[in-house]
Amino acid sequence: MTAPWHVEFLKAIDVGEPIYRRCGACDAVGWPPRRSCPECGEPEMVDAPLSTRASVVSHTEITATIPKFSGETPYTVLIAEFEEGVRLTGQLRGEETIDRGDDVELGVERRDEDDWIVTFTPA
Amino acid sequence: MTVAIAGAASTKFGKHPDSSARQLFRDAAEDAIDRSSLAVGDVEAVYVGNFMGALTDDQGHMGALMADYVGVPEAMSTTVESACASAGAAVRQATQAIEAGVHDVALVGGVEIMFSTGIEKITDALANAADNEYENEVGLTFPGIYGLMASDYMTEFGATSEQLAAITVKNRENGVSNPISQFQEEVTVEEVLEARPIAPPLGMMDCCPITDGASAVVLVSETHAQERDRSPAVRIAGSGHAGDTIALQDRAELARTTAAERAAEQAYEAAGITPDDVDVSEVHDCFTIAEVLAVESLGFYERGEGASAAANGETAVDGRRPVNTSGGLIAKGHPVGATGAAQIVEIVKQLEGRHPNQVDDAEIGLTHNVGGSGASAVVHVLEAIA
Repeated sequence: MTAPWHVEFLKAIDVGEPIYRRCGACDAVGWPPRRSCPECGEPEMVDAPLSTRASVVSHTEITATIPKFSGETPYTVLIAEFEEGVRLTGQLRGEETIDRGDDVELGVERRDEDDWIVTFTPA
Repeated sequence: MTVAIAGAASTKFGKHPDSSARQLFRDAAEDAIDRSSLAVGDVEAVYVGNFMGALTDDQGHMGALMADYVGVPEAMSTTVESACASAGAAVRQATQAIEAGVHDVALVGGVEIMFSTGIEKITDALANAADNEYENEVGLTFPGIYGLMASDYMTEFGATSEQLAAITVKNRENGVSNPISQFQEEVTVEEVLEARPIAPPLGMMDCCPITDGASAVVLVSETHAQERDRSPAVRIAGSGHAGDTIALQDRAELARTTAAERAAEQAYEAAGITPDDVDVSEVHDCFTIAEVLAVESLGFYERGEGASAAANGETAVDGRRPVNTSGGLIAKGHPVGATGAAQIVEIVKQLEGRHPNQVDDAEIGLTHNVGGSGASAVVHVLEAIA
């Protein structure tokens, strides 16, 4: 089950206006729906616009999966870092392999009503 | 008030299709209570580690169920859930309650029934320990999370798949002589490298198996033991429990478990020891890379150097730093909610001098139990009572 905040987060990526969160007190970064800052603890984390280009930090190919993705293996999951300093997890699209340091473009795919998935495509 | 371990036992780990959580826990508890020379009726409190009973077995409220079936339905009981660190957390909570004078005798352990559930459903249940929206919803499994950590570690420090495979080879070798171990056959580096890829660089034999099993320990205050004229052989010298972000993506470094670093620092300080004082350890090797991160977070190795430990023989039973003499999670098996207690059981055997892979003159032992990808970590330091 995807929570409403997550659907909202994914829809913002879909319309080309992705967001992340930044702490008004200490400038630490994070993702919605954080309000309390994981660095300083202040309830000051607010939305900020996010770029769509990121750099691959780590990746792996999933060959044994959970029922929701049954029949879709193998697929690659990666963590990418944005220039804002936040890192996000998503599935690779467009290529079968990727390397650390490669540039990728953030996107989403709609799988079903209110069921979306974060994707990265080589830039 | 110091806390002693009066008795400790595990069931056989592996497949128990004809048993159940309540039966397995009772078996481990009965064995542990027998070893303690106490009576069931002496048990004042029951703490049970369990992760997935409510997800796979339609059974929550495990603490009460286990207290009931152990034969002390009127005792206070609770379930402790910190994913794969559930039983480690349960042991620590019970220890603190005894230290605070709340109980004199507590039965603590864990149980998990996994095997009969089926691999996809189990993978799904295990994924509940991760961040649902940010990890599960993109199809990131637990082997996948550790695959990302391993990939990052190997790129960062130039570690090799052969070095990781040496961990499986060592732990499987240790499992051969451990009667409770799920796997009791040796494997070669080549077999590990050629095993089916699961989440590269991790293959099937880099992963611990799916396991049914239960473990239990009887904790007593040393004052109570003395009053009863008992002489338990092992005490809990110190412990630590710390946390980190639940999602891997929110950590500054993927290949580092800072919760375990903090838990270890707390445990060392409480016990008044340094990492070099530890004679034998049971660490949370749910995947080969996890043993590498464990020995680094415990201060046994500098960051980037833990990968060579098994390949160099340093963590073997007769090495200078024996790690997972039980076979670890990789060979012994990983009934997730029981593992933290199972590690204590193995270290008790070492400190009592009756382990099948006995380390010479073992006086100080350590357990390292991790939940999720490192959002929970519990470390215990145990010492032989002179």
